[in-house]
Amino acid sequence: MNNGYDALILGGGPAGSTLATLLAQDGLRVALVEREHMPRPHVGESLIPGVLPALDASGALPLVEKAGFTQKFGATYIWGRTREPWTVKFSEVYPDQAYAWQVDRARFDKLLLDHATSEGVEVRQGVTALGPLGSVDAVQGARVRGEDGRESALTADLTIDATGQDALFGRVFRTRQYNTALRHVAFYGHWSGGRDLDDVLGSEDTKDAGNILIVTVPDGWIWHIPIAHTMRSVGVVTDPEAVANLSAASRTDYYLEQVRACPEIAALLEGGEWVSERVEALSDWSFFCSRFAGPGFMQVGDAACFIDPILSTGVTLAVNGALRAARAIRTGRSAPWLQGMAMDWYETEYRSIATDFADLAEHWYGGHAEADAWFWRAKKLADPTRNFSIRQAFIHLSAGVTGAQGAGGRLRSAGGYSPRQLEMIYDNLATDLDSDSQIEISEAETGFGRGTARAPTATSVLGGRPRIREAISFRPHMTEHDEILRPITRVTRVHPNAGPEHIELPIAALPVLERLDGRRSGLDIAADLRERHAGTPIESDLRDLVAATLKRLAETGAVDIR
Amino acid sequence: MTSDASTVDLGVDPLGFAVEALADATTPGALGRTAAARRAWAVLDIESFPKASVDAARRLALDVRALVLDGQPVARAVALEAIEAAEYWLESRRSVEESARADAQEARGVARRMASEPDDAPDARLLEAAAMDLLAAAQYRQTAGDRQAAARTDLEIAEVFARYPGDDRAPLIERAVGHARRAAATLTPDMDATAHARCQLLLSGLLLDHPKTDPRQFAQAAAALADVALKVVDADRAPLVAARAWQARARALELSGSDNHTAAYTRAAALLDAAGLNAESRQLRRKHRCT
Repeated sequence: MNNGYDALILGGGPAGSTLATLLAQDGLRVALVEREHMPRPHVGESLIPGVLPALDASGALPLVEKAGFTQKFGATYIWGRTREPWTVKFSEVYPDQAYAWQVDRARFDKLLLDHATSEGVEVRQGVTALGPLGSVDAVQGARVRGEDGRESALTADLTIDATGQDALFGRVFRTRQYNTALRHVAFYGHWSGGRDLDDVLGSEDTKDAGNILIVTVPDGWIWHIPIAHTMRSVGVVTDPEAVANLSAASRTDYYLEQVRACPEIAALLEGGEWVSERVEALSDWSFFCSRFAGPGFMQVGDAACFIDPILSTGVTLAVNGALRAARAIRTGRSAPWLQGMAMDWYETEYRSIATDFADLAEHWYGGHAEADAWFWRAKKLADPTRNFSIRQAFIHLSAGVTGAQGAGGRLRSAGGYSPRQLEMIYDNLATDLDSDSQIEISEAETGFGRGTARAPTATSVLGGRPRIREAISFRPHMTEHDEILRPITRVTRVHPNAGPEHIELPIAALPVLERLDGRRSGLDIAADLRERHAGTPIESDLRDLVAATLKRLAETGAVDIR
Repeated sequence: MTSDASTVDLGVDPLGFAVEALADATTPGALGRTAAARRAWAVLDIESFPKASVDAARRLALDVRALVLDGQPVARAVALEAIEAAEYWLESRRSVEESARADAQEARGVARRMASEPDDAPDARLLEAAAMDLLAAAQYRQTAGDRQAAARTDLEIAEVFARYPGDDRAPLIERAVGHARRAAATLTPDMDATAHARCQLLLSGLLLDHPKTDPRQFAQAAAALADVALKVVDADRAPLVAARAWQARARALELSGSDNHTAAYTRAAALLDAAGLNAESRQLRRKHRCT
């Protein structure tokens, strides 16, 4: 039995609100509990265009547009070998989605939660989630505590942990794994007044006033985010060990000292006033939970994984995770036989995006720390799916745009760059941001799409003995089609000098791929499958299945046929 | 084991999964059959299974059509799958036979109408395509002299015309009325109570929708038509049709100034829940402030 909820969502931040809205729009009965009462202060104000598809899908985009948040057209950095500021604009890669926003998270989060309420979500504020009901193998809801201190149990078919960095389920299930390369602490506060970025940097483009500014300092880096014309968020990110012994009062001194010692930040805050009651501190220790979903539960947003804030990817990751979670849930409800695969798809896709962002953050820090040791070494790094200049590639990454549907279907994957490609991108940023060099494609290093020169015939593929090439793997997966997931067999090629590439085959191709050992011919495989399914309605088609699968694999160079 | 589930893991043994689904697709019960047909269609792609995929497509298209004709709810995702299946069936060699072609066209038209939901913002292009399919099927039905089948197609055509949101709705509403009346004359309560109820509640709504008339003038007549639908429909068997009939009655009562409309909306909401349309039920309750 449950309280009648199809879904119980723990946490009313962007991930929780967005997922709750999407599920309610799908007709689910959704309850959401939030510890605080909105609006409440929260750090993480700088958004990137990668948030757009999820906001569009949930119907929140027009509300955000109308809310009057500061438009953010790009980012300005003082990072790398020189103190010369450099600016990237999202419009250089995405002319139709040229901006995101700098938001007051108190207002932004309330807006999303109110939208969830208006879409039929039962929102309970001031209710703290204490832990899951049941075990990691069967979550049935959550224990919660109201403001009167009374504890109760809320049950639901599906419980979603969206508790942010508290990562309730990750803590209880002990699945959180920290990234030792990304352990930082942030001190931050808000300022009123001051000067605009375009004014301080002498930019002719007044739109630059809305950019985030990221500046390196000896102890780490500082962000400056113009939340509104008269309000800005300024944060100092540093090594936790360097400030481990500071008292609360000393933290304030340290923060103000760092801010004032940075000439660019000091210039922006000239005439401004620090308006926070105290310096807030946040441990930015990046982590991933070892699983994002299980029987009766899912984790989304920072509750699943938290990535260092250097690239402003937090809210983007949260709402894109929500979008994917909703698609997985929708699929499982529409086609119960796909539920398990849909949950696997969610975990794989979300982890993949988050891993991309974590890789970017690591390389960003690496590029700074070892700038002198970096050198242009990748001349022929391959990625046949992209044709960006170095500069475009960087903007592409920093926009955080994912492969989600929406916003006119213009979106492409932000990730998928190999470590060597990332090195090349960041190397060039450090030396020559305006390089027009393209990421060149090496024929020798390209992946799918360049198989046998002559189109293989059914006869030729069935007669030969096919063997899967090295670095090729395959697994059952899903693909998005009309907002519903469909089962496929995903064949992946991982090349050391290029990001992973995938091709999609029908799910029925799986048993054919499993039999490609280089010893059996296509005819042998067809005979094996026919024997296995003798007398069934599919028996007479199995030779066609083998031929179609091998033909596709041969065309894409995924198999050798001897 | 229900037809929603499988004893075979799709991600481990997709061929075994498909074989089991094809076997389940012949079992009694329209809902179970449809689910099994969807499971088979999920695996049997056109290129790899040139023979079995045609059968899977035909089953899925016809099962979804049967659900709709029977007044059962069909989710948009299922309707989209049925459109795809019907299109493939139409393109395959087996549909050359005229009666099969008419079945496939009708199935696609019905699925297109269901996919054009939600009602508050129907997809006009899908509705136009649905109308073309259904009119083509109707032509064959008339030629073949199958009165019952022709009447069922008439009812589906009326549903499409009734939903069309174009600028000048009057001619389409008049055509919808014509098709619905013809269908009601053939599909009597004795022959097909659900279809007869659908005809009556459709006519009830059409009376109030005509842009050139004052809906209040026809509110009483509309309520009477809804009452006919409520009298003949089996709410246990077709809760969605019963819910629509209560909605039609509530709307007519509201227009005539009766206080009883809230109770009628409440009955409609309960029946929507029974049909599994919980979100629509919640919306209805919120909109009309019923319990």
